[in-house]
Amino acid sequence: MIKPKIKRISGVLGFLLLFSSCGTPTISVDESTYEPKIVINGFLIPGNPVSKIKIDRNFPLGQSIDKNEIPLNDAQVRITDVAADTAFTLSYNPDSAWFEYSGTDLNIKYGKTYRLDVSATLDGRPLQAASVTTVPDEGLKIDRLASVFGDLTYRQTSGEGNLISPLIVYEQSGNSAFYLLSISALDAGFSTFIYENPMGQKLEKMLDRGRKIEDLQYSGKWKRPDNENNSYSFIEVNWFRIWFYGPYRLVLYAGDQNYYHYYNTSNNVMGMDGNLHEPIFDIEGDGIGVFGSAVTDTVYLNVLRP
Amino acid sequence: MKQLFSCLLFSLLLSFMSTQAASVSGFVFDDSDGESLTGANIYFEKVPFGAVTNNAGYYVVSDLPAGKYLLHCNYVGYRDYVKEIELRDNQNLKLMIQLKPALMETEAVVVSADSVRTAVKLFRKAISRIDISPSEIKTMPSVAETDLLRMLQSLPGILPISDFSSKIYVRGGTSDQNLYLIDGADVYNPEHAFGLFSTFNTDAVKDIKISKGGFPAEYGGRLSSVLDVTNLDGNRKSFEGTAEVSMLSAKTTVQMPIGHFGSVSASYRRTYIGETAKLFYDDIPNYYFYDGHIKAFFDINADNKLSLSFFKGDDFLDYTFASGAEGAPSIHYDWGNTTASLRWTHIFAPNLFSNFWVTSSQFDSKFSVTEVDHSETNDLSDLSFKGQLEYALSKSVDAKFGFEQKNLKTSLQQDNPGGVVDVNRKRQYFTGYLAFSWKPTGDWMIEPGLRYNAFVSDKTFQDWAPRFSAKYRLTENINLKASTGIFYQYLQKIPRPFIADIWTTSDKYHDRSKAVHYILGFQYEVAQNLSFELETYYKTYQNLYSLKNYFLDFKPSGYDETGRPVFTETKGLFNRGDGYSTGIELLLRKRYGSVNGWLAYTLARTEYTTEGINQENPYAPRHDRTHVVNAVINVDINNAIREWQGKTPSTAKSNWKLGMNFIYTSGQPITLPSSTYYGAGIPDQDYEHLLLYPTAINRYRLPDYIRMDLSLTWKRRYKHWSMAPYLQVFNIGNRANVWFIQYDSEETENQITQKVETINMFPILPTIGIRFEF
Repeated sequence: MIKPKIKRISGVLGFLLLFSSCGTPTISVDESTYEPKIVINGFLIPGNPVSKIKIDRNFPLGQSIDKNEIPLNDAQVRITDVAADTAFTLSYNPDSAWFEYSGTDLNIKYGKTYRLDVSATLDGRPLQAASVTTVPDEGLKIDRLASVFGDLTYRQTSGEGNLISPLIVYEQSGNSAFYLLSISALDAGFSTFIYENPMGQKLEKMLDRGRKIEDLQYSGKWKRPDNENNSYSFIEVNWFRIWFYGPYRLVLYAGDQNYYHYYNTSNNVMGMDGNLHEPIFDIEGDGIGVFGSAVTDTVYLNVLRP
Repeated sequence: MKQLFSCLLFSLLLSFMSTQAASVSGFVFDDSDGESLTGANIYFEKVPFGAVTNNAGYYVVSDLPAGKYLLHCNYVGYRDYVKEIELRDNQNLKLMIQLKPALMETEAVVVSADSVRTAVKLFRKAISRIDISPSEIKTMPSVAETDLLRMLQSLPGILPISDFSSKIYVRGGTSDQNLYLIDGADVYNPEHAFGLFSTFNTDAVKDIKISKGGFPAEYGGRLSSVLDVTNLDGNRKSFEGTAEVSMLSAKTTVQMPIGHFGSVSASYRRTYIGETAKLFYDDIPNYYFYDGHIKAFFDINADNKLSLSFFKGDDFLDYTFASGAEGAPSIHYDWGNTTASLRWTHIFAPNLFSNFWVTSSQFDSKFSVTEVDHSETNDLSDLSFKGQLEYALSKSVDAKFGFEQKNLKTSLQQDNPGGVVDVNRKRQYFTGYLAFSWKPTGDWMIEPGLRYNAFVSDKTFQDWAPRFSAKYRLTENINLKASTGIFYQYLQKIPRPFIADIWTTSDKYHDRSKAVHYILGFQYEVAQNLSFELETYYKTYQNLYSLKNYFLDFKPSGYDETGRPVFTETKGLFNRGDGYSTGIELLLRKRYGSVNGWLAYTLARTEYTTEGINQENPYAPRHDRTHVVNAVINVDINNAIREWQGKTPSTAKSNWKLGMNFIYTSGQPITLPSSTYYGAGIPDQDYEHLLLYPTAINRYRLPDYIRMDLSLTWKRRYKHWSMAPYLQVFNIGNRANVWFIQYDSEETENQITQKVETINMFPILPTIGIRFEF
């Protein structure tokens, strides 16, 4: 009498265990995790006007967002020359969706410290954010004689058969946290795509997998400062980073600490285990993003078909 | 604590000074192959105290008054040994016991006859320790390859981080807090296939003990657990072997006698994972691993035994991103462990047993990526000398004391255009310990111990680590246990995805890690061979080190001749933290019989507080799970039916075995994004990315993890050999257990639509193979 019961219970239990180990659990990330933040995206470059300070809002995950609602066009934005203790109020330009300073008395100088203050009301909450940047010293300069740029055949070799790669040799700037070479294809498209790129994947296939053409069009390669006594350093552009024939713009940045942290962490918050970790933002208060500074120099590369 | 220990020591010595009477000592062997038996019970009728054989199969029962005794020796799977002996005053009788297997072919899991009560066995077992037999591992379903560490993940209090890793996390500790020993030698990175499999070849294993906490003074150097694996000495009577072929690997183990004075066992395993994967997928790297083990045992005389053990395992990987394309970057990576140990077992006197080891453990890896000119070597070596002595002071007091001296070298060399890493360390570690086992009455066992550690790096750390445990037999069926202790660790592992972890040591920048364990246990013999155990624990941690997510503000120690930064220090590499773990574990286990297995439930909580993480608020680490249910059932179908019909078990010519492993865990902690935002990485590039901004670290939980695995084996016996084809199905319900969340978005001219997708762990994975025994 007991045995059939045990048999039945074991059968039911086994079935329940098997049944419970089937299925596809669902995940929903809703607004409960959301906290409003002022998003700052602004860089000061000596000699350039202060015209590209972007002040946006963040938005909850899993929603459809109207892009026109992203800029915080009514934010109060102010830049202060810390040494001179002089503040400059920035105004919103609806055409560019950036904040800019329209006067002529704010000239960004090497080695000087500037503070950005932003206040805005977001989702009914008054928010404030501030950040300080110190512009790297003067000195960054691409050595145009030692560098390899201009017209270069794709995977060009020397007479001895050695591969010649684009190379940027530069004089370092004091007080910079890192050097970043911006590599931008100026004529990116299907007709100029290098199908022989050793990474070996076709553009259509890559786009099918969710990559955007801009992911290949724009890239960057960074380096820590080399020996301070050795004022020259270099960044080589490996050919596998070149995806298109035609002109490339190569902009070398000597960036400050804020930019260094932002560049290396903002788009790198997911670890190999898929979990997220915190980026490093040098912003106080309710802000995220970057207020940084850099010194730049630019050359052009033209990749020719073999 | 030190004063308390001194008092105990004094009282124990007084007890030792009492009269010393006769003793019986010797080894217990398997009569069929001469293998020594660990954990065999020796007891006398009408005398309350007995002994259990140690790792070498040695036992001693001392302080016996002269007289006639009926000595019993019992070991599960073997016929009971009974012998009448007569002892004179001060006689030291040496008695070698050969136990005959209960069946023609040893089917230890089927035999249930056992004259020692389950409650007695539970009482003898150290708190938080679980013993596993190799046959239990082999019967459990697995991911393609039978794996010791994956099997341990089915025990309460031991968890994996995901399906893709064999690493174990014990009672809230991190994976580097586990001490792995093979024949006495430390193994530092016991992983093949990027952590998918462990290096322990289960065919070569004789005995496995895992201690989840409160371990005695003989073990140290880790905060959480000890896995002590003893490999087979080898068959001393005849040649025997096994061979197995599956979809991913082929392996063999052979054992044979060396004349009349010893034996040798050897095993070898080679995988063809890459080749098999290429049948199903394109663009798969060339990959395989092998490992081999050889052990020789020499029975020099009754008082001296020598064993030599050597293990080597290597993994090889080659991958070219676009095979055949000019200038395609390629990855070359090989890594592996080599361990060797020489053990001398010497019996100074019947009541003074000793083991002395010289062990060497080496891990090395070489990694390079062409085209970007990146190369790395990551090496670790450990040469150790250690000794352990067991002294039976009286019938109620045993002592264990020993020493260890370790010489550690770690080296990490990286070379790439952006800089050079050149970290070389030499460290020394000295330990000494003394532990007692005192049975003031038949119902009590008190086990105090003290361990001294000295770790010499650029700073010398000296620590006293007291241990204490007490056991009490409340009734015939119920035991109570308690344990506490302080544990130190002077090595930290830098976990890395894809390539091998790096070990680093405590130094002037990083204080040693410390844990304090408090454990209470309740054991109940539900029936003979059916036990119920409940343990609750609380652990505190100090100086836990986790690798920083970014190495941006890491200052170089200097520059090389080309001006590149050179990094030689580990300062700034870690975030320091503290934490605690607490939990309660319930285990109902039937170890033997035609239907055996266990059912376990764990309720646990772990929280870390780490500088620079989560604004220094407590958070649950990713290996924390609140609820865990494990169910493991192994069924010898033929004998289960016979038992069902009221017949006795037998060894049929062929039989079927079914294995089932079920695991339920509540959700794994995860950090979700609080929001998304637009960010431009480089000012001159007119391209904005949609970026994620995380919430508080690990505040949310993934969905529950549920998995059921099944295995079915048919064994056919012939006169001199047998074969056993098998089918294993991992995740038979094909449940889509979530590994992590992926975020994506679609942009139109004015609208952004965001999507949340899940990346899942292993789907249903069937494997077939065949095993031969000869």
